Amino acid sequence: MVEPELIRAAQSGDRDALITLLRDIEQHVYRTAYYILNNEQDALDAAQEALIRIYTKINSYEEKAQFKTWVQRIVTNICIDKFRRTKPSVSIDEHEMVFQDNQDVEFEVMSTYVAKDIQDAINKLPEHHRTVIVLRYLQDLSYNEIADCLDLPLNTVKSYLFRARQQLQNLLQEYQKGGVTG
Amino acid sequence: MKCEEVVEWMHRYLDHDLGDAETAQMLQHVAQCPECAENFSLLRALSRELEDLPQMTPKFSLVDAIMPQLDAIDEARREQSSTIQEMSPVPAAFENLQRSSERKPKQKWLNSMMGRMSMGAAAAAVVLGVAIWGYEPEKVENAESIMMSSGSTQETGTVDQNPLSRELENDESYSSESNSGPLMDDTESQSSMSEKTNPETAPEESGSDQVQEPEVKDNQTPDQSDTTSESDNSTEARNTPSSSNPDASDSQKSQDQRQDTQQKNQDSSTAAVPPAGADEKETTEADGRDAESFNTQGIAPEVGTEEPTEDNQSPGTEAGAAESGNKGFVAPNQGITSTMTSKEWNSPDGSYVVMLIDNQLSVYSKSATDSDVLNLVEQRSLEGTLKTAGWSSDSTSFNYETDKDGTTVKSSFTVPSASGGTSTK
Repeated sequence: MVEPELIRAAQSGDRDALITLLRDIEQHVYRTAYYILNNEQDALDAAQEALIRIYTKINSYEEKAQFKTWVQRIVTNICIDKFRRTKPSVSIDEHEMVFQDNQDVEFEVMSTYVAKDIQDAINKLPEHHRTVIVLRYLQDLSYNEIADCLDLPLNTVKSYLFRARQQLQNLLQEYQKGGVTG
Repeated sequence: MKCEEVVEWMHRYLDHDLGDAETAQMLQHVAQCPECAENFSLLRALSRELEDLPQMTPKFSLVDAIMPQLDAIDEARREQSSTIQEMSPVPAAFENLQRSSERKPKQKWLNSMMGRMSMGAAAAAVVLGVAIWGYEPEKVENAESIMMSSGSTQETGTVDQNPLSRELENDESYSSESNSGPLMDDTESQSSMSEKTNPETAPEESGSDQVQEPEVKDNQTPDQSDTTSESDNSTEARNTPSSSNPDASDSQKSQDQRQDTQQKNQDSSTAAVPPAGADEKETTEADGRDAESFNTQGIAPEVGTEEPTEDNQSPGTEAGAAESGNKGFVAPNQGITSTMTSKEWNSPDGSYVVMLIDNQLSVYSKSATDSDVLNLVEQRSLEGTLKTAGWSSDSTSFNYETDKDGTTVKSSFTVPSASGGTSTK
């Protein structure tokens, strides 16, 4: 949590305050970038780009918004741009088909998944579902905060999040059955 | 309570969005419904795993890594704000003047740009470089369509005579008329028609030329008011010679005129901007060669309306140009009037740059001390269109191919690898 005083100092031209502020948020910025882009190098690039943008645009931040959502909005926008440029889009329908196919299949409940499988599964989500999951779980944002970040209606955020979880569950069940990997 | 509803509540529960009462109700359903119980435990497990995802951290400090960029941003901001206050000419501007005197084509543009460029020395040089890159293609876009139309008629009409006539020989057995024959051919009449259409457009467009000329005449050669429109044309070229003989006798005058005609022919063959009245005269009696040069003139007036104003605005630079005689007059015309194509090729070692401006290749050597100062090494006019061009990897020669009438001609500039003089093959 960044102190409001620090933000104000940074906005008033205190360069040291601005640098301190960037150091405070760089891990959060990187984490979001890493999980949305699922690639270390891309994440480093995107996070640095986001930090530079924050550095240059600090005066456009208004206190009526939360600073962390303002930061996350910047980094997710950069990531989604990057993501669209580098990855072919995955249609939501495709995943829903998978979901339908597997809905009634019996499976053994496992209490833990492998972290790598989860990351792979996240990587298979469509960009908005993935972004919502990242903001919810890596940044601990609430529905409202996610809606602010992504400029989406609250209900859309909920439905993205619910569907994303459902898709993840289905994907992970496939992994566990030794089906699709990677 | 329906299972579907319960599933949504499960999600909200996981997101800490479910009130106590709703939670109790949801748990109650789950306790009774095995399917929902299974689903709930799966979802909870997934959510836990997601919460436990490794908190990735960058392997180095991102802020440290971007510090140079942040410094550069600050630097740029400081310069921006300081130059707004200072607004004083900077040494770089003069350096660029020096450069621009060698590169007439850009002069007018440079002057206007320099007004805006009251930044620091380095910034000015960099921006100028970028602006030149950005500027020239724009000109090309404007001029290209003109060139396409007039250039193509020119090629088929005058230059392409031989291949065309050969074709005709084969197709229609004009065997005896291989060279002189095409005079009667459709292609030839077409080309002469296109020659005639060009002069028609020229007079309207060169209106500003005519407006400007009387001034020049009044100042310098009032006794020539009785001369034909041809002399109008010569006033530009005459500026220097006639002012030195203000009391010229009639014989001298006629001599002058002859000289002027000569100069004019020279000018027109090197794509200067003679006024349209003379053009018409000339082209009516024009042979193929004149028509060829005329086509380039046809292009000139459109873009060339700027040319006289430039003369007015910068007499000082014209005086400088006079040192190189005719060339000095010709150079600005070429650049401003008909910039058909302009490109740059930097040599791999960076010590030379070749520029293509209006079908003229110019080799410049870059000064060792300041890469923005260019010295003209050699200029060549291209015959035909440039197909390929590029530096050899060792920077010693610039090879290019021109395409004229379907024949490809390979040529090259050779420059010494270290900067200095040059020789050509």
